[in-house]
Amino acid sequence: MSAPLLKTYALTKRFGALVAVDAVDLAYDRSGVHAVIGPNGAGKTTLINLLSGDLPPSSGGVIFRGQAVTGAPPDRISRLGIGRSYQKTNLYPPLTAEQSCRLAARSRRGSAMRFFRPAHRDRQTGEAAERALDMVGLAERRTVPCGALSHGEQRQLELAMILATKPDVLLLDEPLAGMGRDESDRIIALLGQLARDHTIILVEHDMDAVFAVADELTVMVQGRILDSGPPGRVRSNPAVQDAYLGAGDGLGAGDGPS
Amino acid sequence: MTASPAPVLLHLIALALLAAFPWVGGEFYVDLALTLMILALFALSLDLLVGYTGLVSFGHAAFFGLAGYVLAMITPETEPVSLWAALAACLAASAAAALVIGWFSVRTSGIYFIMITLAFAQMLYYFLSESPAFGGSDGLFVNFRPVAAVGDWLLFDLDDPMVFYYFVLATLLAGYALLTTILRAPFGQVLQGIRINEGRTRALGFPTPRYKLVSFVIAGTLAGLAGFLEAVHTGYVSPGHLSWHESGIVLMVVILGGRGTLYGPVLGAFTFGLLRNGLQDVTEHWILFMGLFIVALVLFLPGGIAGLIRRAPKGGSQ
Amino acid sequence: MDLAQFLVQALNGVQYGLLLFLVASGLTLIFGIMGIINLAHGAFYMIGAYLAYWLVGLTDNLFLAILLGIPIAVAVGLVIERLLIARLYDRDHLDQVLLTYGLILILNETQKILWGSDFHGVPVPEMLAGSVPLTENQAYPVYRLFISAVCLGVAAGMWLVIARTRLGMMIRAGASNREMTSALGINIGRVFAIVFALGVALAAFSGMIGAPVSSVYPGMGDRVLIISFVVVVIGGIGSVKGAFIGALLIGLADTFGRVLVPDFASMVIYALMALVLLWRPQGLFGRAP
Repeated sequence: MSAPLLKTYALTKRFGALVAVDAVDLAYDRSGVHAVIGPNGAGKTTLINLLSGDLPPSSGGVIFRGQAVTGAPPDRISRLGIGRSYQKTNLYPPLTAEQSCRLAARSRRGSAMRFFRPAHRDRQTGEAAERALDMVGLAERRTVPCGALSHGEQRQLELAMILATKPDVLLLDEPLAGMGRDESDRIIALLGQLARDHTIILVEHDMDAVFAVADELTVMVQGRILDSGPPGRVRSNPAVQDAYLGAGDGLGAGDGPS
Repeated sequence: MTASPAPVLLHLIALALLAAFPWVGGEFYVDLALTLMILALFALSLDLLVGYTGLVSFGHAAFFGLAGYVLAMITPETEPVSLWAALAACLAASAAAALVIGWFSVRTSGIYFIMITLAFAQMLYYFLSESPAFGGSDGLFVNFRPVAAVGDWLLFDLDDPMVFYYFVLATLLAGYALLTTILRAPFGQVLQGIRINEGRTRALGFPTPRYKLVSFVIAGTLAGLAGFLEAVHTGYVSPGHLSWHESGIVLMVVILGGRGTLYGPVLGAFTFGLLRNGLQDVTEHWILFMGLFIVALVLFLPGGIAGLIRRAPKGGSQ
Repeated sequence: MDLAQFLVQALNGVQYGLLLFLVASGLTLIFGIMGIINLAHGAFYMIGAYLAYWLVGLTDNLFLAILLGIPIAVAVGLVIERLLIARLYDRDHLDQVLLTYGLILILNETQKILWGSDFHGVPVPEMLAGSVPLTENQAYPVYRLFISAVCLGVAAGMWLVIARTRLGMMIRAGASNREMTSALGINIGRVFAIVFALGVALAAFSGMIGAPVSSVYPGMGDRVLIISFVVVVIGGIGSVKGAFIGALLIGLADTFGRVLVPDFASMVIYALMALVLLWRPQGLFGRAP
């Protein structure tokens, strides 16, 4: 396949005088994990917000499957096949894990402007929700309200919800934040599996995870791309080491929102 | 989450009580019950917005009053209008108004939404009370109750108080059933998602503004149905039916009963109505006590009566 | 309409707008800084007007009445803030709307108990009772010019506070965020009480100084409240500048509307609001969502 699945050209976002994302050109193919790393304030989350439609760009554009989607609202972007998870947990506290995934799955079953048949009778939605929960390992906790789940489980549910929408592209904003070692490993393994036929754009601070699973690495600093390419090459780029990785210790510049 | 956690049995008991009431109650109390059932329907329609979609409208009385005005205007001076025509006209008018007002309003959220719905209701209020064509601040009379006839054959006679009582009860029931159904359907699930976390719901792929608008139109139409019944009941409409005090009262009734439960607003309507009736008998300054009651309600009983019911210990559990 | 009439209406519109600005600015500050929808705000305007009526009746001097009345109004406001409003800080909009709605009922009915249901007038102070000539045949009441001048003075004072003080800094930052305010090292409870008191004082002052022109009657607060809402929505929540411009727009639109389209007079301002919101859903100077 020659044309990239998801492409940005000169994508820029300004907040007043602050240029959060500066003329970023990116191209993503049909599969693989594309990690985006960088120090705090580098513009990583803003980039995700631009790709997901949560923020309109100040200039430049986004092309998905050859169609311009610049400025499209988040619901349209989701329906086109781009799903995102959130850095700060963004769930439905009173709903159970299962109910949340059902809602997510329902969005793929055609219009939900249906008024008469009870939603819980929709078997396919239920199955899709179950599969999504299984994939992330939350099947046993399906009847627990989201608000009662542990932090790590909530991060897993974030992932399950996007998976239930069967996206082609996953925009993951620090999915491993706050997870224990076991949970992280499980998610990393899952990402590796999904990477075979999904495009995953992964913003992460956990360098071990990034190097374990990334097929491609992009380093952002102050809104601009410093380097982009195979992880091995990028990590040995001296400019990258100076800006972010530090001489050989492979740790990020710090935790917290970027 | 189902639309109503209260057992079916309690619902049936309430229905039986309401159905039996005209046989035991005196004329005054039957009339009061009519007022309260209509208020209950009005409150139900608002609960769809407030309790399930998370949209706090402070202008819901606009649709309530508008329907009454439409009835008054299409009822000729010398003969009654057909029930079917009247219902169609009044519901269509409410739906249309809700579509227009809703289209403007759902583009906003939070405080702006509250204020813009309030302001649109005011607009309609002033339009009806200041334009000479609509009776001014005195309002209009509905000269005859609509006639429920098919051709020459009279199906039922709304002028008969008993018949009218059951007509209103049936309508309330139908409204309740309709709302229960749509809330259990996918539409209702999306509304719930919007109420809890609109941003997330949108990110999952649902065009949330559209859902909010549809919810607004359904709510407005049902409010119009209640307003239609009220106009038939009293034979009279005035701008006061669209006032923000009216909107405030119905909002309060929803909270009193417990928002987001459907049965709550019905309970709230009856509780409030009986309370108001009682207070009015006791003092001319009953409004003062109503205000104190509302303040106390918000401070001490935010979950409403439904909240109390849910907290009540169930036999044998725990 | 000829020049003289136009001038009169324009001056009336500006004066009305400026009185509205006092009320609306308090409302928008209370929304913007405290995050509270206070439906009872119009009641403070009414309280001011009735205090003017009562105190002028006692002292025969409007200025003295204002001097005495403002502290009374502020005291009432602070009691209400401590007892009731303070409990709304963590509650959602619905609870705030309802509680303050109940408060309106209480205050309106209390007013009726204390002063009855009649309309009352408040005499214009003698030294301001004359007129100044506008054109050959048209004179304009001095008192109305006085109102406008005083309101402009208050507006200037507010601008100073906003531009030069820490409180003003918070207002400009659009701070409704308690974390931000506590980060600035200020006692939240005290800031909120001050903001609320300021809002009450502005509304009451507007009622007092406007009383000779508007008369004093039950329910006068309700009308002002709704219109102040419209001003705040048009201007943008939390923006005093927006309240100023919005109030002038509304004052002029309403005044000219009554003359030009008398059958639809009251609707004009709501139509104006709808147009503004269509163009900018967050109001003219509100923060974009």
